[in-house]
Amino acid sequence: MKFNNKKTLLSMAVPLAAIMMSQSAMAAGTLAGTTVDNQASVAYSVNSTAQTPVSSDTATFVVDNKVDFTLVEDSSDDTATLPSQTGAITTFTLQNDGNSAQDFSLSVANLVGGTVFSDDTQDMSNFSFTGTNVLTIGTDVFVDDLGPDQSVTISVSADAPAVVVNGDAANIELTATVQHAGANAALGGTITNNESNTMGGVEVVWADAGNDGIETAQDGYLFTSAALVITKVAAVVSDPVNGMTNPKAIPGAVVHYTLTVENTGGQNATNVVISDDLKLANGSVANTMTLVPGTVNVNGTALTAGTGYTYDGTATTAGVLTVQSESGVWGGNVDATSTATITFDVTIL
Amino acid sequence: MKSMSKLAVFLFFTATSMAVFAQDGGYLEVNTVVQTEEAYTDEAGELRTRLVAAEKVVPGDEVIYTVTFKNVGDEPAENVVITNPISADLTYVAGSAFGASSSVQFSVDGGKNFAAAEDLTVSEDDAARLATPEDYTHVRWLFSNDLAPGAQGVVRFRARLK
Repeated sequence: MKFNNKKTLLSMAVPLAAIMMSQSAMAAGTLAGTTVDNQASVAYSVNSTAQTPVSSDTATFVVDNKVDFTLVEDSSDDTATLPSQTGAITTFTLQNDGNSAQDFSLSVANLVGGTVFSDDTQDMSNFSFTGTNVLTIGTDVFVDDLGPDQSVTISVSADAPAVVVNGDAANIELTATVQHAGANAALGGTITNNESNTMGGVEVVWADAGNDGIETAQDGYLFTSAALVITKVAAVVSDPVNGMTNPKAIPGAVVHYTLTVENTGGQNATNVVISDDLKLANGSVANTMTLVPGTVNVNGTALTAGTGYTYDGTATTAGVLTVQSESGVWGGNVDATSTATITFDVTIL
Repeated sequence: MKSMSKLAVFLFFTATSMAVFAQDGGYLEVNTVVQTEEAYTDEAGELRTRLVAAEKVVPGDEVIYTVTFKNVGDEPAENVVITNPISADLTYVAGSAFGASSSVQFSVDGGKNFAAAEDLTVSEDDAARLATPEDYTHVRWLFSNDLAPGAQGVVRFRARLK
């Protein structure tokens, strides 16, 4: 009778085993809290007569909570960002490799230095987080109830500073700290590693990198801005003695200047204003040269005095030449990887 | 100190099993414990391992099952067979079954049929292949010698938590 009962149990064990197999095929392994029982039985004969098999007591253990997770930045590249850009997004992936659902509290910080870009000189501001089950409740930001083998994409939004130099970078670090799963849509309690060991209890075993329940990942915002480089070339056009043949830079000679404004940055520059102080052209000599009126051109087109350019010197005194946009002639823009060429003539006094 | 308390537990189980035995009128008593291996440093500074109660077990860890059995009757026990199921959450660790003067067999069908590891096959995609430890559902030990009155034996195997 007892033997028959056992056979029934055995045949029932097969479909049960099949169900359990599909569950434990997960990479994260057997779920925390699972009770694993084992009962040995012994069959034997006495005087060639089979006796009723005997079962042992049940040896039991409870599967503990293996805390194992990873946090990585989704793109190995920097995040291209513009000055004053709001809501610049960078994304991270948090993966629960443990055998229990967990909450993960999140925090983000600006780095000084950092490993993404060595030239971290800027800070982002106004951070916020979005993602599936990424909740912000009061001051708590957390991933709610991330199950075993589940992962979540965490988008971190941040605002860029207004004034940056092309190539400036801001490095940030996202920190995820494992916590108990707790109630739905609420941050669970803190997990500590010194919880008591008991046969029936579910203890925490750290298995994450560093065995501390904390993982970090970094990203860099790389700012693209305009970067203007100005070069100046002089050529003597004529002098009062030689005319235009092998002219020398003597008083009364006309010199042709070419200013090249190159934008080597990644963004267009607008409202470009170029100033050239002719007084400084020859050190301590105050009045070295003066502008030849009507010779100021941008990209080969003449600018109008008082509109496209101003000059605060006179026919006999040096001054400051200021070149700016002029409707219909030059918009005052130097696009990324483009140049603007400004030419003007001066007379040596 | 710890080993003493463990001994006490063992004796307690023994006593319980014996009581059950007397009721059933059987000859054998059997006891199963599950333990894990723990590394420790002894007084001489040597790194050693010892078996401790399976308190902390997470996926990937190995547990060790030890089955002790004893003939408490007054006749020899013949054809003694110890059978142990391998939980679906566990994978038998190849080559770990130990038992003096016994042959070890495995089952892949919930304990209906048993065979030695090298003779055990499973059908997969209409073809038979040699069973692997992942397929095992049961392990058993067949003893060729009789177990005399008062004699006892022990078998042991390891399994890894999935």
